[in-house]
Amino acid sequence: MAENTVNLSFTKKAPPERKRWACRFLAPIGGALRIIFAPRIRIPRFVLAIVVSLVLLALVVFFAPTLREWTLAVLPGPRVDTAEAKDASRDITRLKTRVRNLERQYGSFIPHRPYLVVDTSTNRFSLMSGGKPMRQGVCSTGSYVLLKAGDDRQWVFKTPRGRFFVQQKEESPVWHKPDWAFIEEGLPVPPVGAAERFETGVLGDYALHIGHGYLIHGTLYKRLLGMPVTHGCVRLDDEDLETIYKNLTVGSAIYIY
Amino acid sequence: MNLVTGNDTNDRAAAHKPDRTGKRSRILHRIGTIALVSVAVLPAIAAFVFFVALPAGRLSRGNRPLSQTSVERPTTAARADATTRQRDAQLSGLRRDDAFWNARLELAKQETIGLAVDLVDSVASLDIRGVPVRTCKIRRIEISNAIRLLQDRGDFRGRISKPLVVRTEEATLPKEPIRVTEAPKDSIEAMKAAAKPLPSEQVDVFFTLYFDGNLALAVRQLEKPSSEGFRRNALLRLKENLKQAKKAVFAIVHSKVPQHEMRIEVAVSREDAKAIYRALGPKAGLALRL
Repeated sequence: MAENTVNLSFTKKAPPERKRWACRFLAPIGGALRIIFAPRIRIPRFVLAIVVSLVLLALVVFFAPTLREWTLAVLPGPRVDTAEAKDASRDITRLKTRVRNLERQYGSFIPHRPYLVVDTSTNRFSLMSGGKPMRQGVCSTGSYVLLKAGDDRQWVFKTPRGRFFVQQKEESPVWHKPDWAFIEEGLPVPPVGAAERFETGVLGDYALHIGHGYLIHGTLYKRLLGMPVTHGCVRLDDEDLETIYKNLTVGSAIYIY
Repeated sequence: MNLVTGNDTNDRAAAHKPDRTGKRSRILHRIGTIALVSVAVLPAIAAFVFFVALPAGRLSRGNRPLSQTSVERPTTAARADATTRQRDAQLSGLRRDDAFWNARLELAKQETIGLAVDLVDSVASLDIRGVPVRTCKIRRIEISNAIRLLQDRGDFRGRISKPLVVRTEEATLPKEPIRVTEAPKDSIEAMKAAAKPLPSEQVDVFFTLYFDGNLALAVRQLEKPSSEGFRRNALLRLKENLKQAKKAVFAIVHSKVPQHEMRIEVAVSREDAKAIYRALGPKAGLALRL
């Protein structure tokens, strides 16, 4: 009964609205602190020691690479081989010549005739000659779309990376439409060799075959140049295509990355 | 708020007892505390020895600084020593250059796209069959102290004179941004799909390539990442640290000294980082100039 009275009197002196909100907010924090520091709960010292020990252990293991780096920073530097240093000047001359030769050897990999470099991540191309750019511009490369047909067939439209060579050059190319071109448009797939499979004008004025069915060609969708929208071929603007067509010959290298 | 443990109660109880007993109990209490602190710290010390000191000691074994041999020498000798040091530096630089060009030439023989990282000139280059197709400026470089210690050793030079092969990689972006599309049922549905705007790929680029011999190359974008990019990068770092800790624990369990990861961190522009990451295929090679 007495408790009830006390409670009742406490209710009467209820804090103002703002204070009550503060109480509500602080109550859980207070509760948590009470659990941790409650005078009646005794945490045995060995438990504390084990917890501290585990925490320290975990910290050392987790930050071991950083600690190792710090340790290595104060350790002595590289050893100097004095025996080798005797002939150092002769070695330096010999090594200089060797490095120069290696650099020259490496430089010989650059094609003598013009070559094309295609960057699929930014959709840009560079027509190069002797390691220097002749013409640069935008192009379109593979869209990375994985097209799933209903009949368990699927295609990934990506431009292959690596070194390729111009295998064939073609003027006014005709597109021989593969199955995916019809499936993508929601059209029925015609039989092989059907007239619907051949389309003129869509590949621009020129095409360069680089193998495995991939081409470098023109496009009707010029506003999409610079974006990854193709089915794996490299699309170029008409003027760029013409320059590339005229500068590259059969056997010229194409580098795609 | 007071933290009262069993010992405090003991102390209070001891206060009422005669002095001698109280003194003894205080001494015992102190011994107990020291023992507990030791128990708490010992595993950490042991971990430091096994996870830090031993691997670091192993790496630095055989290294002797040149300065140790030249302490308190006459001025002429010191001058001669400086010349020797300069000559040694030139010699080791040339040896490293030799190793780099050998590795790059070896890389040129491979069909895969390779990466050449020149930390001397701060340039990274993507090579295809010996032709540098993309060259980018490295804006920031951080090299592990382990590499500084090892770079002039014959065995390490021997290792970098061949292309280092990528074993695994971790990144904040997918290798190929594949978008799955179901074939449209008819031409109307196809036209609707074609009319949709193209999704733009705005990703923050952070990746780490792991090579043979505990060498890792972390490539970071120079630009400030978005909040999502920041989160992904933090997760990536956490993942890397946990992976290393796991490897170290695994080594200790198998009675081996954990190996220290030799890490090189470079910062390039986002576009360059993305191009490098996307271009490198599985088992790509790396030529490194230190």
